[in-house]
Amino acid sequence: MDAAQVKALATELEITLGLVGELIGELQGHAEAWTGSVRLRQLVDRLAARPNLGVLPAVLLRAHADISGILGGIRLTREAIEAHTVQRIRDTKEKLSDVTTTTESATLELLDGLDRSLELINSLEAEAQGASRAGGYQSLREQVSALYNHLQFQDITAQQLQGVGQALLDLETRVAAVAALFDQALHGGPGSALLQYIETASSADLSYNPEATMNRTRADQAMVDEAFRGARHGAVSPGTARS
Amino acid sequence: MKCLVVDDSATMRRIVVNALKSIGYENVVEAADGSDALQKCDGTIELVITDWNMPVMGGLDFVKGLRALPQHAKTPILMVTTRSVKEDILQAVEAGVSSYILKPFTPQVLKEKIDQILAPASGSA
Repeated sequence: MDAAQVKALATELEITLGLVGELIGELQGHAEAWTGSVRLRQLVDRLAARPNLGVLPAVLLRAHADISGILGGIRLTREAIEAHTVQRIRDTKEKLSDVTTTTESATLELLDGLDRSLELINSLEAEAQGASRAGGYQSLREQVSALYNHLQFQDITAQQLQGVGQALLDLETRVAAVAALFDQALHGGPGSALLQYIETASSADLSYNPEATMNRTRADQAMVDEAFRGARHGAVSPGTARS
Repeated sequence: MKCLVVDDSATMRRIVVNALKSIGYENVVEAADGSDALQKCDGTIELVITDWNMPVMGGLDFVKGLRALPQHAKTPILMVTTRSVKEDILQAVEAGVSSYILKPFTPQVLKEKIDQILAPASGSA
């Protein structure tokens, strides 16, 4: 209902109450014509005693103005939430994706460099023509290979960053849903439908593991081996303790 | 021996391929997801090393799809993944995985597992 409709109703109410007031005045002025009706006398007396009837339209108009002001403030808050918070979350998620892309490119370049190093070691070893240096070249080759394997960190951290990105996406969606609730408060409608959608939408299959970690030891692999053997022989049931 | 390495991470594919070459497996084919990998399984692949968490088609679905192919019903499959809970391991076994390695791994562990699953009348890891 807009302000014009509210004003029209308030005017109509004012007119109606004015007519009622006139009617009461007429009845009181010609009381001798209807004093036989006790009920009518009671109604006239009660209506005449209402203290605030005349000011009711003005009060309603003032209340409507106040509520409109509050709703306008809520609308501004919703726009502020969308403009600042949601956009910042979106920007942060994009930056995380950039980090993953950049580190993958850098890691691939490092791998290229290590490949060239291994080729150089092979060339130098072939030119050395001496058994006395063979152990040194093999040791160098092993060191380079170890560096090669340490670069697995890039895959692990990429999965961790994807997990953070998904958490940000969930946060962004929830904040947007809260902002939309303000709209529902203004225009009416279903309250939590969007939040319900968020709950179901966030349980889809993942292409990454948010639990990925670099902190794996030989003991962790041994526990996995034991669990694998147990599963192969039907000894492991779902719900047992995590490794 | 022709090997198939499946991982959505280009970095991990390079590292696994390098590790395989360091232990003598030079003939390696790569795929970036399970769907791409299934298309490359034409009966000539003799060893599969696959990741679990991948887009398009994950490792578990890929393994199930591979096991459904008659020419790959018994192909050795090594799952290399960050997932370590027992429920995941059980799922991998039920899908038909031959052995299971945690990331990050060392070439020594990779060689041990490959030797185990390629050994005559091989069992689990």
